[in-house]
Amino acid sequence: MTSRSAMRRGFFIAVAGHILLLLFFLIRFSLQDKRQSQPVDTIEVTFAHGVGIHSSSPEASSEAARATTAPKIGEEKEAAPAPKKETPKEADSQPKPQTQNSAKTEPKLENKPVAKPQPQPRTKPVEMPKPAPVAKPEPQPKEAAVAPPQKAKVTAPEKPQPKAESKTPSKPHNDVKNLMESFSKSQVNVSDHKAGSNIESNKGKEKNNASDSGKSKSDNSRNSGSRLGNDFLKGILGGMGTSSKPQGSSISGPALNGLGAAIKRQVQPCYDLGALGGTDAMRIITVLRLRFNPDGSVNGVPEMIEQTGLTSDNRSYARQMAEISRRAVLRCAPLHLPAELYKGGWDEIDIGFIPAQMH
Amino acid sequence: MPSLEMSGNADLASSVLSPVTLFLHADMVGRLVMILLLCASIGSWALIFGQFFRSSAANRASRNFEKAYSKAESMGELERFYDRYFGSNDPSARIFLAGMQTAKSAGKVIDHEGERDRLSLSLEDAVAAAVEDMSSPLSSLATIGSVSPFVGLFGTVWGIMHSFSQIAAGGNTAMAIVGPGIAEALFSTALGLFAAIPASIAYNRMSHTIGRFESRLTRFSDRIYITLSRAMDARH
Repeated sequence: MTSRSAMRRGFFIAVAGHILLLLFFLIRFSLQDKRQSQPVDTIEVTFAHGVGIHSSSPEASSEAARATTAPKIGEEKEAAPAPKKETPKEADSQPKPQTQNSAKTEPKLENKPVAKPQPQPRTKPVEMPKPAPVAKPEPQPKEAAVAPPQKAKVTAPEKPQPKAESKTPSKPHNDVKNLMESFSKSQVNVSDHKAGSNIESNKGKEKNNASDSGKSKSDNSRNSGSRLGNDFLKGILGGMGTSSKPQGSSISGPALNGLGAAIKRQVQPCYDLGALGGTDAMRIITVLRLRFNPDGSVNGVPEMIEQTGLTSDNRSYARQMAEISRRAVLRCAPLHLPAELYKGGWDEIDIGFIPAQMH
Repeated sequence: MPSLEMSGNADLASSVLSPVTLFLHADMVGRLVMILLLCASIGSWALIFGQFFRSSAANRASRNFEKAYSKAESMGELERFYDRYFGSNDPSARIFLAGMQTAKSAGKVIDHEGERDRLSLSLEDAVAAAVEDMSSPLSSLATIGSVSPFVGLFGTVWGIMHSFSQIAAGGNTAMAIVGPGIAEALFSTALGLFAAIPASIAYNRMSHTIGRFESRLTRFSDRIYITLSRAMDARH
């Protein structure tokens, strides 16, 4: 009798105890849910930003700087002729940039201004070995001119370096050709910047002959070179302004987001956190600068721009995370991206890898 | 796509340790194991509490009875004492009643030796019955304590098999994908230990108290034996 009632009492107590325990766990873990859910939400948003930010902002700053440099160049050119002993040769070299710039700026939209300045320096040294002073002033204007046209971050760093420093022989040659082409195009009066990139390559081949004619034209324009002052400045300034604006508009916005999404979609399968999944290392956001060839393959080694989300706990994983991101891009290497967005778009692009979104 | 995926994982990951979530994410076998282990845990705790109440009540009753017995013994009023406690369920009382019944049914004693044997046998039986009754939950506790870890282990092995087969099917080895499956698999081992640890502790504790209880009953039965056998010798 008593034993049975005691057992029943024990049973009720046990059931009540288990229910209380369950409730305790439920309440405790539901509270934890709220704490943990916040960081995840904030992480999600950032991927599109990682792609978008880089494309537009740097361009604006570069343009402003060049505007200041441009006038100096003009002056130097003017000064250059004086020291030169051979006036006709010098005159040829100087007038070319001026006439070209003035003529090119208006017709050319984005790519052309960049290409134009480059060919001049190279061609000039070859043609005219004489004046050291002449060559010096030119590189400066080139760099200045090149920088503004850099719509996409990618184009700017690569081009200026080969010209001034002559890093790789192959690139400079190509650049020279491009420059020649662009040269001819500018004179020919190129249609639209959008079609320009694709057309340029085709035109360039066709226009090798045309470039010669362009040179002759420029020679003709040498006579007009005496006007140096105002026209020169206008051309440079105008070219910079036009180049920057159209570029920004063509790449930025939804197109860039789409580009980012496309890159992410293709890189995702190769992004393997391995044993790091679920650890604090997931908080590290790695931004890589990727340079692509037009066929979608990676040009060179992706370079790490920055890492955010580092804490004392996961700092030791930083290098590993960067390596994982880098490997992911290289493994999925030939990416299939819209060709029309290559120039100024994904030819060089900074991509933030957010581990939480990559699986 | 990614954002949706993420939010789903986030919910699962953040609440992954909640027992209810783990239970809901398990498959049929896992759920069966978890339910079984939960029942085992409830059962073991019910036995622990029930046994605690029962043994404390029995101890109290036995102490009271022994006190009353020694008083009655010293006053030589065992017959009245017997009438008073007839039908009682206390272990000590039942031992005393069994002894008294044997002594009474002996009638006129001729074979003292045989009568003493019978008395001691009946007392021993009464003690054994009381101890047996007292230790009935022990076997259940021992079973729960020793088997539930294995049941939980079975649930874990099954769950890990399950999640590995899912990995094989999905081809995704990310820790965030694999993690919940393994966590839910390990949860059944946790449940098994959760049931087994109190059960085995209670088993050891209980067998110790029952041993003490038994020795106490034995001492009391010896006391009764001495008194009753002397009384039988005196009767002739």
